[in-house]
Amino acid sequence: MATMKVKKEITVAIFIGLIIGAIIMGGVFRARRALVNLNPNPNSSATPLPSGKQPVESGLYLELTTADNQVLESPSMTISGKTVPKSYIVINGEAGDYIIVPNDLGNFSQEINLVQGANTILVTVYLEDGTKTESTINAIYTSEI
Amino acid sequence: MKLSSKHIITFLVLTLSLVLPAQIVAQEDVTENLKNRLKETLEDSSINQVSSPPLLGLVGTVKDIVKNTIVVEDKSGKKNVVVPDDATILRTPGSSAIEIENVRIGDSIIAMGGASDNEQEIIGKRIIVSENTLTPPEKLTGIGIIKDIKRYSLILDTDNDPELEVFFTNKTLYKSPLSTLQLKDLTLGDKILFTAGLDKDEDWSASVVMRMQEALTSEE
Repeated sequence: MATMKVKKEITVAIFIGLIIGAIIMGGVFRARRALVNLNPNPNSSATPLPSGKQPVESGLYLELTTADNQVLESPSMTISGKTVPKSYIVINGEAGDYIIVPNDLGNFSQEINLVQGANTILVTVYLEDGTKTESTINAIYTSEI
Repeated sequence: MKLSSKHIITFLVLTLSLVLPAQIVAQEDVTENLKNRLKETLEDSSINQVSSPPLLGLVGTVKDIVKNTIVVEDKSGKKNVVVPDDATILRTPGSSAIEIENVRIGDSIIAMGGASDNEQEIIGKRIIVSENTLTPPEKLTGIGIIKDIKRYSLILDTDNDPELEVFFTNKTLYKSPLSTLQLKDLTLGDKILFTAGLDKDEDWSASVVMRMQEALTSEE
């Protein structure tokens, strides 16, 4: 009779142990899933590169994300894009010039002033050794349309 | 060892006290995650709420005129501007209203309007033409080593000119990749990136000067 009682208690203990184990495993699993979901894509803050355009370590490129030929009713616009990190970006607008550097990912953004009418904006990227690449965009600032 | 109900209950309470905080932390993380996703979704939808299609512009030269269509050549090739009856065409200087018949091949043109259904043409709404060529102001940009600092100018050794004189004004902006500088911070031998425009005396007048060496030494 005593042996039967001990066996029953052992069975109960094992059962309780299984339940507790399941609870602990469930908690650990949920915590891990929550932490993973908090940052589903660690690189999501970076501007995605256009297809086929990957930065080459020693190569120089300039990819403007600002649309060409915009018609604007305010006297300023933002020039943004992506190039290689540790480069220098010169923006020659008709109402002013700007020299900036990109961030560690190569992204850059600069608000520039516009003149009334057609604006030709030349963006040139320089590397320290003098290598450069450039791109031109147009914008039209008008108060009447 | 005999397990009494007291032992079991004590064991259960202790275990739950350990497990529950982990569950609560996990739940908080999930809630925070949901909040972030909801915020991102709202931000995305606010960006995508465009009330009307954006206006398109075209800056170039008139290459041909066929009925109510003006063929314009810009930096990327030829494009058509369809001119509906209600479009405004102005000729500058003077901003006098004209008809499409008065637009001439070779005119400089600024066309504003919307995209056609096939997005291959611009439906002109306001068109400005001029006999004068639209030329942006002349600028000079380059890298140089400071050879001399004069009262009103810098003498630079550049690839194209070993003695390029670039004048500075009270509007010239001096900077490094890390901060804003002053003229007195520049020294002989500094490597600079500059951009300059032609002033009324036909001299190059610097608008921005960036010292490059600081970036190389401090960031690496």
